[in-house]
Amino acid sequence: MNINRKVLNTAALGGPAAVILTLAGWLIAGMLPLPLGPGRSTQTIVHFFTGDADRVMVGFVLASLGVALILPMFALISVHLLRLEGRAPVMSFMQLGSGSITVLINMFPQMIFAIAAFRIHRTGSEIVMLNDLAWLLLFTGILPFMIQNVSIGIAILNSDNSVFPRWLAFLNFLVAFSFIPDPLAYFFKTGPFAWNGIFVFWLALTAYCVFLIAMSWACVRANASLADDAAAG
Amino acid sequence: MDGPSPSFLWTEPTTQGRTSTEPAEIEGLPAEIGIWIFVLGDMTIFGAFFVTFLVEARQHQPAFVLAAGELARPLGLLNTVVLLTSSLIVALALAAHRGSNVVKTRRLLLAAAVCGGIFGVVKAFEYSLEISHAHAPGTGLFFTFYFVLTGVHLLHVLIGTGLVLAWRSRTQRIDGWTPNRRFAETAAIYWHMVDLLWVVIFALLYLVYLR
Repeated sequence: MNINRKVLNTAALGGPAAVILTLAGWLIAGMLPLPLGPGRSTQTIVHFFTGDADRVMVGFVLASLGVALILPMFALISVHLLRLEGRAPVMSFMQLGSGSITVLINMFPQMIFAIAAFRIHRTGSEIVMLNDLAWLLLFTGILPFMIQNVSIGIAILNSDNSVFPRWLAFLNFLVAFSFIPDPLAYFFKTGPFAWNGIFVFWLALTAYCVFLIAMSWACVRANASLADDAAAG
Repeated sequence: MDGPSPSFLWTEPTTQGRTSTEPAEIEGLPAEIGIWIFVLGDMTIFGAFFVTFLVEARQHQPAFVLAAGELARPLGLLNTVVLLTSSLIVALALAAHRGSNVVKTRRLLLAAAVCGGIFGVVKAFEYSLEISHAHAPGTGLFFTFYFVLTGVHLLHVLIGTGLVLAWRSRTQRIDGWTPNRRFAETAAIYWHMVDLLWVVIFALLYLVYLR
């Protein structure tokens, strides 16, 4: 096939690339393996950002750059949804619009984390505020994510099986459901519903990684069928 | 088995009386693989909720026993009966639809949707009762779990009611069983999952820590 196919397949790798770079950045910054919860003391949080500020900034800058690599894959998903939807492709546009917003929601908190480490002489309360701001921005604005998943799901269910498999629609609905507990992060400082708890951080992170990897796989498959269409046409 | 089976135990019809263009029904899974992926995934998430609840309950047993005693058990029991009944109704509706009895299907699906509505109204009343007794989501871990588990479940009930009503409206727009099969079975599976989850939630919240 021509160059176009290579471009399409490269775009499909955006999701997994974003997962790898973001998780690597978080490991470098120290956000993984176990992130600090909202109940930790100011001293602990200040130490996290200022103890080795350069390492923390490198990690979060890497994460902020990595997250944006999802964009080509989201564009590609809409290209394939356009094939499904025909002349009134509202789900394709909803997917692309809401998906673009999710990239911002995922990107800015990484930058705010890096900003928290930018000056080592900030007061404790300033660092705590930046930390709160980054965490709660990252996890509680769930609706753009859910709209994106539901748009993809509805477009697939209203189509034949030619571009994306139908089970991918149900997987998208499941991912959307898994974000439901996230706004509870506002109400808890410790426990399973706090921002570092299993129903916020771990559930959302797992679901989002599954979503990005499954969509990448499905896009590579759909790219192949696009090539077949072109050959047939 | 002796005697006639109840109508929700649907048996494969013979090929007699079926036009040759109709595809054979019930091959492999009911509905489609996707809904089963969804059901297993959703039940795994709820499973994690239940395990977390039990772990926390072990650590705070006296508080959980005290709080569990404060729940309105008759209302919880009422909702259990409502949902179990609705599941039977949905199973009967599926059998009626398979038998192409559209009038009966529509009547049963309306009854199932009404059950979903009753569940929601009882739940709302129960929430207002708890809140008026100063049991808010922030009142200790037990009530956090109570409101989160039942709240997420209530959202499932509302979506399920929407699916049942969508199924009902399809019976008018689309004739026959075969073109409706996938949607009808998907909605029914979802509804039974919502019912099953409630049975576990009811047992865990209302009964296990009762003294």
